[in-house]
Amino acid sequence: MVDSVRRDLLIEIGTEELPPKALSTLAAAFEQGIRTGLEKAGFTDLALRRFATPRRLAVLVAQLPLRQVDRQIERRGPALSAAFGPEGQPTKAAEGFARSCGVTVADLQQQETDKGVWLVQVSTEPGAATADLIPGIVDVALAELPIPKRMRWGDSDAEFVRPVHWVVLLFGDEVIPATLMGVAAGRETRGHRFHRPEPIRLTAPADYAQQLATEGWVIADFAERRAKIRAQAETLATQLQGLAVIKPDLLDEVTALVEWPVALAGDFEPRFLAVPAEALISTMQDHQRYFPVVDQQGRLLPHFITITNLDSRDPAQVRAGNERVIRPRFSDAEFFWNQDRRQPLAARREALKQVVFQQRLGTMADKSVRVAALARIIAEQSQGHAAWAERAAQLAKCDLLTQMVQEFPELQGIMGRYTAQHDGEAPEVALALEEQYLPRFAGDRLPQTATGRILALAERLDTLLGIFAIGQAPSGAKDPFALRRAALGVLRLMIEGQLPLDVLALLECAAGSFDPVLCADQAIDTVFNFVMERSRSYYADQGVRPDVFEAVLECRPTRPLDFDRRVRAVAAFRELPEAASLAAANKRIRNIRKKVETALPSAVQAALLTEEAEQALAGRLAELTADVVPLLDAGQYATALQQLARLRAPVDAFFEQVLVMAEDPALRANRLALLDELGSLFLRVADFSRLQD
Amino acid sequence: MPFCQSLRVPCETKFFLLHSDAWAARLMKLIILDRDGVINEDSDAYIKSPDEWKPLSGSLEAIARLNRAGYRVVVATNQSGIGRGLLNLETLNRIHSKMQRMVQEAGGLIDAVFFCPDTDEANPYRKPHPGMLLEIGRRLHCDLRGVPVVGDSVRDIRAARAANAWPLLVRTGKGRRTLEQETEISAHVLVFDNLAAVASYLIKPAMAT
Repeated sequence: MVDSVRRDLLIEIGTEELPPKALSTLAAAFEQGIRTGLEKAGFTDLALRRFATPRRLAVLVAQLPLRQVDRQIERRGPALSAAFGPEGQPTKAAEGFARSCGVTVADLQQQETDKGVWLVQVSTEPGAATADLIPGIVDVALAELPIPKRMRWGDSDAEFVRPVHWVVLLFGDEVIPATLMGVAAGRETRGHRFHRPEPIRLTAPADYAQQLATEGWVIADFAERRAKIRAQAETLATQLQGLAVIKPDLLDEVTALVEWPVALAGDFEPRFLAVPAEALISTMQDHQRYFPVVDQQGRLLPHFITITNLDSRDPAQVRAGNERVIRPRFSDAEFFWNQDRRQPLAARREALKQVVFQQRLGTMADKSVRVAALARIIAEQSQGHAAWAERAAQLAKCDLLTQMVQEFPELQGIMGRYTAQHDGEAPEVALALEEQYLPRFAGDRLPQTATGRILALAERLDTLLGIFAIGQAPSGAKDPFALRRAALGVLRLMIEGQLPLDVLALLECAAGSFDPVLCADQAIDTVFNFVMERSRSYYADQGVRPDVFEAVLECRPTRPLDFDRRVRAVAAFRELPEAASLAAANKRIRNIRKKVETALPSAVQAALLTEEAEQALAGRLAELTADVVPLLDAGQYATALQQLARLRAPVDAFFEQVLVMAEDPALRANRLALLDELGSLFLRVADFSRLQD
Repeated sequence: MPFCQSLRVPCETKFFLLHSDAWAARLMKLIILDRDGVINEDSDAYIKSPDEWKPLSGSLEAIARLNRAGYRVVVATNQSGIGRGLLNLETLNRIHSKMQRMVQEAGGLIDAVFFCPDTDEANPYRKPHPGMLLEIGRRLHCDLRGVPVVGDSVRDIRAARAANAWPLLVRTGKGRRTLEQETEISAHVLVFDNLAAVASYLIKPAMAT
């Protein structure tokens, strides 16, 4: 049903080629800007659709009313009690308010609220014609696009991400007269730069995409173009008996580069397959924006798929052109690979002395020595392979000096692994060279090998301590050494890697390797707290309640794996019916304990237990202590807490029936000692007084 | 085909079906040793009798240590002396019985001995060809990737590389000569003084105790 007071609206900004990586963001922001503008103007139930190609941003608004709705405007004046005198005469306040509204007091109305009755002036503001509002809304939307750097062109004052060449503002079948970005709005769009350079006269906003597709050689819809590219690439790969490797962000980028996608396959010489696949893939994806092709087992095939922006009359030539471009790049990679392999990784250790890690922290060679010492210690403490860990640490940074990594920095670690394998290093050492960089981001996978985990840990602990020691701890958003990520990595490696290591003790070991001038040992506590503080977000992300985390943190466990077991145990304990009562008891114990300044007797004396309830509690506590202490020593906190939950009844009875602060100082001290014993047992796991209801 | 002596039944086949990951194969822990120059003193005149078979110092104990650390030890050796008529199979058996007995006295065990009696350098089972090693992998149902292959000559290194295994070079036997003459290939292989040093590198300290 077409409403005669509604029409479709098309807004199109035609530009020079937009930055491909920003296109999706710009298009979404533009649609949102238009939506916000229209909503502010009082339009509701909007149906918007956005279009984005390298040369245009467009938004289609379906069935927009021709006019804004009239608006009721209410202005509130004085309270009724202050508005009229005893005889019902308007006061000065009332008259003043009426005057400011341009009416008399008699025209004002009364409004009742729960705070009393007020004078109000109600007026109607007639809605404006939509067509008059649109240019302003588009202007604001364009001005608010997230563009880091705007440019100017010609002699115009307009500024945009790229020069603007045409603007379409079509409302129904009429053009909205306006000048945007220095360009007069019209109804003519442009088609494909080569296939259809002449202007295209748009007939109706709703036919925009259709008309561009049939007359203009342009698929305006981003998602549609993206799907088409994927389908074409997959079809071509199937014809090559393979699978196309389509990284989502590369697909987005390619989609943002073409208006009329046509996929073409090309080949390269199979001899290049001897080069590590990652180097070839990196060249294809990052440098050439090609989709690599693999076989069913994931092995690279000597083909690639490229997406062109036009339907070539001579595809063979386009294909040959692309093959000509990729060949020298692959030849470079092959040359680097052959050159790099001649020198064993271990032989590059000497050259690491020429590479500065951080001015005050020395060279990469210095760092390797420190990390190797620490890796050895970690391996010894974690049933790891010390010789392998040490070797991996010595070789860890050597691949940075290979020509391959200097040409393709994203291959760091990967080239380390390949070269180490070629050098005949222990397979686990070779793998560790790649895995040292894991986890690269939150949620990334952890190293699979023990040596990889050990190296990753040693590397991060060394960086954390070193950078803190020279006073470059992260502040605010500034974290140039990615220390927060490193700290979270340390936690994950220890917790999820099941390494029962002591962070504090390892930092102390690490500190010994630094130049004494740096006083690295003074940074140990800060780094330790920094690392443990990261676990707050680690547990928050896992849905652990903050009070559970705080309760454990209060005990300052220095082994993250131990910390983790406590957190899990306390979280489980919290769900028990006994939890609330025992947490309250711990709170009372803590409060009582704070008030007592005198020293407590070291042990409870049975002879001084006079009341039945305290005898019962002491008896139960003694029994449980015998059971629970070995569990606590073994780190079996969950089981220990299940046992301790049985104390609920005697504890409740104690607090109900026994006066702790007894007159007799001996009795009092004895009771305090009993409570202290009880509290200490719980404190072996966490500070339960911190649990919230 | 290479000959194989005293091969025990391959075990843990089920385990490997569960773990298709190539690196899981290392969990099985297999080590393949060359014989002459690695376990016993080498001789250019071939080892033709049990009396001529003399263990290198520390090698038998190293095998025992490897066993204790969970390694199955298999020997892969070219024995062209048979093809040349310098000794017969029966003598070879007696030599290997002696080797096995001495290894057992040191507390170790050799799971199997593979050998290639042929003199033809083109025989795919003769090192430097990988056939013998691949056969070991097949018989033991074991992926050779990451499996240490210890030898003293370029033949051993080449065979290990071709079989996708992990070559290790010892300085005993022809090892020193190999290092001096074959700099190109030995630059890309880990080198150890002897089998004992190899064992120390492979075994975690915690496991040795």
